[in-house]
Formats: sequence, structure tokens, C-alpha cells
Amino acid sequence: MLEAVQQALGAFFQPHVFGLILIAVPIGLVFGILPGLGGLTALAILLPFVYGMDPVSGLAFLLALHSVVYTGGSVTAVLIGVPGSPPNAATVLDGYPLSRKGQAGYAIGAALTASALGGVLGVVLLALILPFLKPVVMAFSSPETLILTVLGLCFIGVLGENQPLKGLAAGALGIFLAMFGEHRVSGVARFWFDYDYLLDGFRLIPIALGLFAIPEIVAMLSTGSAVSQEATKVSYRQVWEGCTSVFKHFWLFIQSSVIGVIVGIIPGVGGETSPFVAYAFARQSSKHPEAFGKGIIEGVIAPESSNNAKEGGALVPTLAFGIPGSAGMALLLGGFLILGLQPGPEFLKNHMDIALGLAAVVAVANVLATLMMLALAKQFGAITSIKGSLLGPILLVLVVLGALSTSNDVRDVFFTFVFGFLGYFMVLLGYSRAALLLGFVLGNAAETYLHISLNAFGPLFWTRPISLLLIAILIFSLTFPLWRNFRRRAGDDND
Amino acid sequence: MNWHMRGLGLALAAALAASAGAAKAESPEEFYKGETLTFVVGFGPGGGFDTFARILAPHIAERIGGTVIVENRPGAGGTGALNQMVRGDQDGREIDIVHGEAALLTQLTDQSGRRFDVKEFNWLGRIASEPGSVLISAKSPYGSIEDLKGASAPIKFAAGSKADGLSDFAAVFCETLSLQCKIITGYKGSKESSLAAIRGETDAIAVEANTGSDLGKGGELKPVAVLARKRWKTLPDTPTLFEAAAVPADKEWWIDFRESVSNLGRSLAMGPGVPQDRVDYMRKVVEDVLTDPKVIADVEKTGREINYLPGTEQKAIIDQLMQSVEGDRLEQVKTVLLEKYF
Repeated sequence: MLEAVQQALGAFFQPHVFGLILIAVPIGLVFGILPGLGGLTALAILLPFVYGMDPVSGLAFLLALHSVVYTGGSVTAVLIGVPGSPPNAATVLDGYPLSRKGQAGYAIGAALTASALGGVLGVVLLALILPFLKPVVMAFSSPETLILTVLGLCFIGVLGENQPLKGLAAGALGIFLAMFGEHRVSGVARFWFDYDYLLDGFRLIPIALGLFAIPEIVAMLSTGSAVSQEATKVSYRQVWEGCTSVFKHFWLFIQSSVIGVIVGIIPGVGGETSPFVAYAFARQSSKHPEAFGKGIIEGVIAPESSNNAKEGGALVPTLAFGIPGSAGMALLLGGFLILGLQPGPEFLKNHMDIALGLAAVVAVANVLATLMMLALAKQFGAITSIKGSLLGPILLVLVVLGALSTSNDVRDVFFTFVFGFLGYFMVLLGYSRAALLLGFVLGNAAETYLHISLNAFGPLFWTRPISLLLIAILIFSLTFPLWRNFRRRAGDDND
Repeated sequence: MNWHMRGLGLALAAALAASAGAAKAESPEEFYKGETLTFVVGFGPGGGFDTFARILAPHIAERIGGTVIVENRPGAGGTGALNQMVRGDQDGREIDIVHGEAALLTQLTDQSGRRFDVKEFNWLGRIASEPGSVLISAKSPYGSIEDLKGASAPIKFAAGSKADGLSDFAAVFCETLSLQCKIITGYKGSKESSLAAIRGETDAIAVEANTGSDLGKGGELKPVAVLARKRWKTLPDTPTLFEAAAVPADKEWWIDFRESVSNLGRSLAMGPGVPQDRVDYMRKVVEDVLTDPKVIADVEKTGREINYLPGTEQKAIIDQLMQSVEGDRLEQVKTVLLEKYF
């Protein structure tokens, strides 16, 4: 094992490989920062460039690029309330209110530090389980995937800020939107209205962009005012306070990262879910859940640490079985095949050094990305004091480009505006957009894995040990706040 | 109509006639020289289709003396790109890499969204193809085809969707041996399906033979039969279904049917309206490329191989296949592939 580690580090940390990582990190960050352009677009555009590279360089380049996208995306989410990539949407909930209060630096510091440490912790956990990858992935069957999906769905109400009913309604709408297009189980297209675009259903990028970006742009253009309501300037001192806040909430950070890794390991759930689950868990276990959604630093730390940690987890099924643990990993897998490597059980036996080297690349890229972003934090923070009438049009251009570039399809731009319209009214009427997004991401998985679980295991599919454990966690996390409120109230009565 | 409009109309007609004349005089070599060709991949980057397209593109460009740009148009399992190919300009400036097998199954089973007819495509040649194979999970109570025949409960197969290239292999296998089967769909492609079989969630899986060969190496899945008349080179020790079991004469048709669908494999095609001389020219180019030892070596480096078949022969396969599944047979095919085992 130690020998493999040595070999891995030797192969991956040659000057030219490190040089490629140094090039990949800023590219990944830029794709992350620009709304609409996310990790998927970055990989899709740059994948053809690795044809002909040697495997180690090619993989290091792609992985470094991919693993820092969410770091960049967190900054956009915090500063202008638009997720740089869809999984950053959970960061908007508390990061953006902090920016509006003039505490952008504080939020950025926390988001970036949580991202870097989450990424590193995810990799450490990955390295620890590398020798037992197979039993770990084998332990999670379809029923476990289903229950984890249900767990995610249960948190929809929690994302509805202080109006759980409106959160549930938004989540239900999200699930409904997920039902469009081909029904995976039967291959039959639903609600497609003889319109080819809908054969695959709605796409994630137009929904995420439309819901979050368009309402903000409308607000900027109609009020003309800057994001920050306060005149305070972003200072490095503020950023530093943000960085240290992660250590003040260290347990929360660990909890959120572990959630990220677990969600990443289970391929069916989709890594996009993990920041929402981490956020909801943070709120459920907090002593002051009512402060969430109004600008609380825990609401930034939780999603961002799990966001980067999940990529470590998602590497597990990708390497062990060639099954991508997140959408980005699916493209990355393509990179492996292009370079003539076939991930799977055989791959781990013969190429343990590459697997470990990849883990090291993720860790290094995460730290590098955060250092680069921290150095620029002050400049980024200044964005919050730009007048809305100037920032709005620029954002609009970026949004259109982002929507278009995802799959070179003009119809994506059209649907971005359709969902923008929806998002505008959701904001106006106080419905949670994050809840809709979570419902959309989980809707298909819930339906499909219920079908599989029932057919493969019968109606008692939920009685397997890991399923029961997950159900216990689910019940605990939903009842814990009730129980605590009850105790608090009982305590008040005694006084 | 006043005089100058009429003048304009005449001028336009003259111009049209002149350009038509020019087009006629232009040989396909002249047409393609310096031209930019779009090489459409109906799937995302990084997959098998994308890899083939990107390896072949520069070689095609070199031979026509022009430029070839690979464009990914993923959507609806390849159907989206084919719909566009049929409806787009038919001037021969677009070639598509087609999942021939899937396109044919889409047509035979009347899947929604199809706006093309595979019989009308100008097939340029097949790049690669492989038959199906059946693998049994080490965690299942069965060890051989004999065990499957004696099964008391339905045999569970994992697949992605109906008629997706996995479930129909399984359905044809079950139909041929009159087995009691339950095909569980919903898994994402062959990877997640095979993982389900490895975990013992299902008893068996039916996949393409090369995939089956890779999966068989781990020991968790055991290849028991190849769904073809001849053994397959990557599975030399696995018997064909005809060797492995007694196939009733009236059921042989199913294996032959599925094998000829497999024969369409990964192919190159152009829209139905492309002028014949350009189609002939591109067929020649494709043949040169796919039989070039250098190209074959490049492809082998990625762990794949070329199994070329001329476009004209592909057309013959399709015509024959379509003839053999008319009327009652077509209804049977739909029942077996879409209903009976689900």
C-alpha cells in the first residue's frame, strides 16, 4: 500500500502534470464562477483536448478542473444570489442574505474554506475506503438508494424556510417537472407534446439558471441598486473571520462532509442532492433553526463542505465499478475511456497507484483553488457594491451564454426564461426555489428505485439492515427538533 | 405583376438554372474538397460513439481534402440527432454515427419521438458490432442454463429500459428457451445493470458480448451463452445458445432475428435525400478509412475494434429484416420485447 502511495505521488507530481493542474484550476474556477457554465460544460468542452495525452496528465487535468468548479460557484451564489453551478443553490439560501447585510467577505471566507477542507476530507475518506471499495458499494442496493432519496425528499419542507407548506408545494412542483420526458422504467415518453426537446424532459441547467438568476437580474434592473445594502467594504479581516468560522463550527463541517461522501458513493441519488441534505441537516440539528435563511454562517458552511466532499465520494463507484457517482463523473469516465483506461474492479487491482494519485490531485486542486480565490476575495467582494443597472445586463449575457453552451441548444435559453418567469413569481409569493430544485433532482430517482426495489425484493424491501438504519436516521432527524421544542417548552413551564 | 417583378423572376429562374447546372457538373470529389463536414454524434462526449467519431474524423478529413468537425447532439438515446439528420439539409455535408441496433429497435417497437425511417437512411458502412451474451450471477441460486430451465421462481434480469439493447437480449433469450422471466428495468445502462446482478439483486443479465467478456473476468458473473450462430472472439470458451441448450426449431427465429439486429451495430449514415453520387463517394471514403491498418491500430489502442461491413450490405440486412417481421410476426416481436417479461 505504502509503495502504491509512493508510486502514485511520483507519477502524478512531475513538473508537467503539476503544470497542467495549475492550468486546470483557474479554468475550473472560471467555469464555476460564471452562472450557467458549470463543471459539466467545462468537461464537455475540454474533454476532446485529452485525446492523445498520456493517461496520468489527462486525468489529472480533467479531475483538477472538475473538482474546483463548486468552489468557484460558491462565490457567485454568495455574492449575487445566483448559483454558479446547480449544486451551489443551497448556498444561496444563507450566503446571499449575508452579502446583502454587507458581510460578503465573511460568507466568502467561510464558503471557500469549507470547500477546500470538505474536498480534502472527502479525499481522505476515499483513500481510507479504497481497499474496501467493493464491499462498501455492494452494501448499498436499490432499496438503500430509494430510502436515501426519500430522506432527501423529506427535507424539502425544511428548505421551505419558515413556511414548510409552501416548501412542500414547491417541492411537489419540482417532482412534477421531473416526470416530463422518457420514463426510465418503461421507455415511454410522458408529457412531451410531440416536441422533441421534451423527450428527455426538462434539463437541470435551464431550471437552475432560470429560477435563481432571472429573478435576481429583474430585481437588479428594476431597482438599479447594488446587492449590498450596507456601505461596508469587504476587508481581508472579514474574510479571515469567515475562514476561522469553519473551525468554530467544526462538528457541523465534519457532519456535512460525511453526508457529502455518502451521497456521492451511492450512484443513483445524484451528487447534486448532497448540499441540500447537508443544509437541511444543519438546520434540523441547530439550536436556532429560525435564523436559517436570513443569513447565518452555518447555512454557508454546511452545503459548501458537502459539495466538495461529495466528489471524493463520487470517485468511489466511478473507480470501483465504472458507474459515475455524479453527473460530472459520468463525463470524467468518458475521459478514462478516451485515455484507454477502463475503471472497474480490474482497474483497482492493476492501477491502485492511479487511483491514489487521482485522490491526491483532488486534494491539491481543492486547496489551490481556495488559495487563489481567497487572494482575490476582496476584488470579488467589490461586485456587491456595483450598481444593479450595470451588473444586471452583464449577468444577463452570461446567463444566456451559459444556457446555450450546455448543449448548444437555443431551446435551453428559451426554457431558462420560462423558468425565470416561474422563479420571479416564486420569490414574490415566498415559495422556496431550492425546494423545487431538490424535488426536480430527486423525482426520477424516487420513482425508478421504488419500481426496482419492489420488483427485486418484494414489498418488504425496506427491512434490510442498512435500510433500517437509514430509516432510523430519517425518523430521528425529522422528530429531533419537535422533541427539543417540546423539552424547551416543558422547561419554560417549570420556570 | 408589373414588368420589373417579372424581370426579377426571370433573372432568378436563370440563376437557379445556372446553379443547378453547376451542381450537376460538379463531381463529388470537387464538392467535398475544401468543404467542412459535420460529423454528428447523437450521444454525449466521452462515450463509445464519441470516441469512434473523434478517431475517424481526421482520417475522413484527410481523404476528402476538407475539414471534419465532430458535434455532439445528445438526446433521447440518439433519436434526437437522427430526427435532425432526416429533416436537415440533404446536401451531404452531414454524416452521423448511428446506434443502428437502437434505431432499428426504436422503429420496430414504435417508440415515441421517432421521425425517421431506417429503411430510408443512406448507410455508409458499419464500424463495429457484437452479438449479445447472457451472464448468471454467482449470488443467484442458478449455475447453468439447465438450472434456469428448472427454476421454480421467475428468473430476474436487470436492464435499463424496454427495448434498450439489454432488456431485448434478455427477452429473446427467455422466449427462445420458454423460460419464466422477470426483467427489472430502471437501472442506468449496462454498468448499473451489471452491478445489480453482481450484488445479487437480480439473477442474471444479458449484455453485448465484449462487455460480457469484461464482466466475466471478475468471477462474480458467469457467461453462459452467446446469442448467435457462431462463438464470439472475446468469449471463446462460452458456447452459443445453440450449443448450450436444445433450441426448438420454431424458436430459432428469435435468435437469428436478434443477431441480425445486432449486425447493424455502430454505423455511419447520411440523410435519405443526399444525392446518390455523393453517397457513393462517401461510401468509398468510409471503406478506405475503416480498412486502413493505421486506423484499425488507433481504434485498438482504445480497447475497441473495427468490424467493417459495407453500407450497401447493411441496407440488404435491413430490407430482409423488415420483410421477415411483417404482420403477425411484428405483433409477436412487440409483445415479447415490450410486455411479456416485464
